[in-house]
Amino acid sequence: MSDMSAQESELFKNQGKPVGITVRGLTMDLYGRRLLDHVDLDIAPGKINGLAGESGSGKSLTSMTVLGLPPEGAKITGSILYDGKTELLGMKEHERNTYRGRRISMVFQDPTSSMHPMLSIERQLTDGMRYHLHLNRKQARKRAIELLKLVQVPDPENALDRFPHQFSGGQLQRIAIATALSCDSRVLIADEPTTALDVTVQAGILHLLKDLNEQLGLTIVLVTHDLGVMSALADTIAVMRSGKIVEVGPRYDIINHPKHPYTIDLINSLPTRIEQRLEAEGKTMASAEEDL
Amino acid sequence: MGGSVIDRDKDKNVKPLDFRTAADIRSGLHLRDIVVDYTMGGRTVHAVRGVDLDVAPGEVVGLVGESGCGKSTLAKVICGLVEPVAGTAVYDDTPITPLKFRSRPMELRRIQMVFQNPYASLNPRRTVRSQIEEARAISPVPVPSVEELLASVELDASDADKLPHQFSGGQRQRIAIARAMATTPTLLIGDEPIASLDASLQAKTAILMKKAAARSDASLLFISHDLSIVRLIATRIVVMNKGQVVETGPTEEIWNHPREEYTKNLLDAIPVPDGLGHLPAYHGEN
Repeated sequence: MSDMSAQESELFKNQGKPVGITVRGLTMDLYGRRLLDHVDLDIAPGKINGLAGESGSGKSLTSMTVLGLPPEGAKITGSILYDGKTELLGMKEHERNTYRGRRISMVFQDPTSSMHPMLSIERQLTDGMRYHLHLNRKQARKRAIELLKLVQVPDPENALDRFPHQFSGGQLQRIAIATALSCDSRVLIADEPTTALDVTVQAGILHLLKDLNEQLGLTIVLVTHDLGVMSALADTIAVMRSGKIVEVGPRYDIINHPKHPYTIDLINSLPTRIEQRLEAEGKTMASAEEDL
Repeated sequence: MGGSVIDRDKDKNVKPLDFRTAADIRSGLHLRDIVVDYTMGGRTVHAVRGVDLDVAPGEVVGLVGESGCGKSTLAKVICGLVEPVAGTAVYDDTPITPLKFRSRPMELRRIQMVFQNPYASLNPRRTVRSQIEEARAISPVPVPSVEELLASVELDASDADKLPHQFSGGQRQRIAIARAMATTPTLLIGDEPIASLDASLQAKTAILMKKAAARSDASLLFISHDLSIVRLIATRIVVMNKGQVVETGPTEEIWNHPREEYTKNLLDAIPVPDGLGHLPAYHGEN
């Protein structure tokens, strides 16, 4: 964090220690179909916890359930423990509201569609603070400016009075991250946070997430199918497929020594791996075309 | 673009041109000083600002750049879907004219495109067979059967009588590729054809598209923002930024020794999946 380090910020003075979440046997049935099947997931405090998988694997469903937004009518069993002591599953809705957005927050894939196009950035950024932290408009605005400095949005005062369409995708994603952190959340779920962004912009968001994790002790759940992003950021990686966790391990081991056949397939489909394989066999792309 | 065959009956009287005599009578694609402006609400956006681009017969060219750099607009110019403000576009000595109400000239039907979103580019109410048959009908040379075409993209013959919704995204994209190949194109354009696919299918689909093009001697213009995949299949890479070509050269040269700062930054920003936890370099947004 270049000009504004988190330590200087008033924002995170009363943060306390990092918080983890323990998911055990999380099972979800909807319309007679099993969508999640005994998912065990340790979201380690102060770490970047990777959750990898392809579309339909249940990775977003798992994170939405941890956040407290499962699909309507879903039958859910298992346990989601916040900080080792508070059971989130089966909690009354008004109580759940003191966690959602207040202790656990989420950043979505496409910032242009996760923001209301007709509300100013100030309104969207301060909504949560006014509800959860009972701040008045002036206090909330002051805090919003600090938050925007934290995520390095240039000219924060001015930015608050503008609307989503006036920002680039990268800037909007920074604002979305600021919004997620506005009520001192200790756990941030980032669901494909860079998939909709260009690589150069993606690099900036990855740096920001890493900074927030290191300097605030923020626990991050990084949900993505992009193993390059995973390899750059995650401390541990859990691989999901068809509603099950197939393999969990430290980042290096999962990327370089995967054990489950599905993980091996996933790693082998990386362009760099295809190339290495060809090189090892002394082939070029042109000569190896038929075996690929 | 199997859809552009509204009055194909009319063309039946026309003697089919013999396109396939030899590669050397084909001269490929030549774009010179192409300029495209979009006007929106009184404001003009310069999408493409004077681009030269050549694709030789049989060549595989990767066109890379970030969103808004003009790469898709350029693809639309080549297909005649967008009219340039200035510049010339010629394919195999035929000037590329913007598509109006008439069907495209026979020569230009040899340019086919595969779009980003396979959910939107296939007709949901028609079987795979009927969509591929329609494309086969405009081919001036004998084409393999629907089943053979499907086999060439690793789909089953029995898939021919299914509807698009019965397939996954990756399978649909392969159907779109088979449909494009059914016209025996001499230039195949992929406009981000892998961007909406799962990670494990991206490299596979790109390679499949290259193979399909190579099998029928077609050139391939592969447009993508993903340099690591483009590197796998392209022989030459063209880098675009802000409506202009910033650098072009053989793939390995661009990848290992980029000359332009912009290309260097683009390559530096790609995260390397080595499990070591290095963040890619960040040089600010441009």
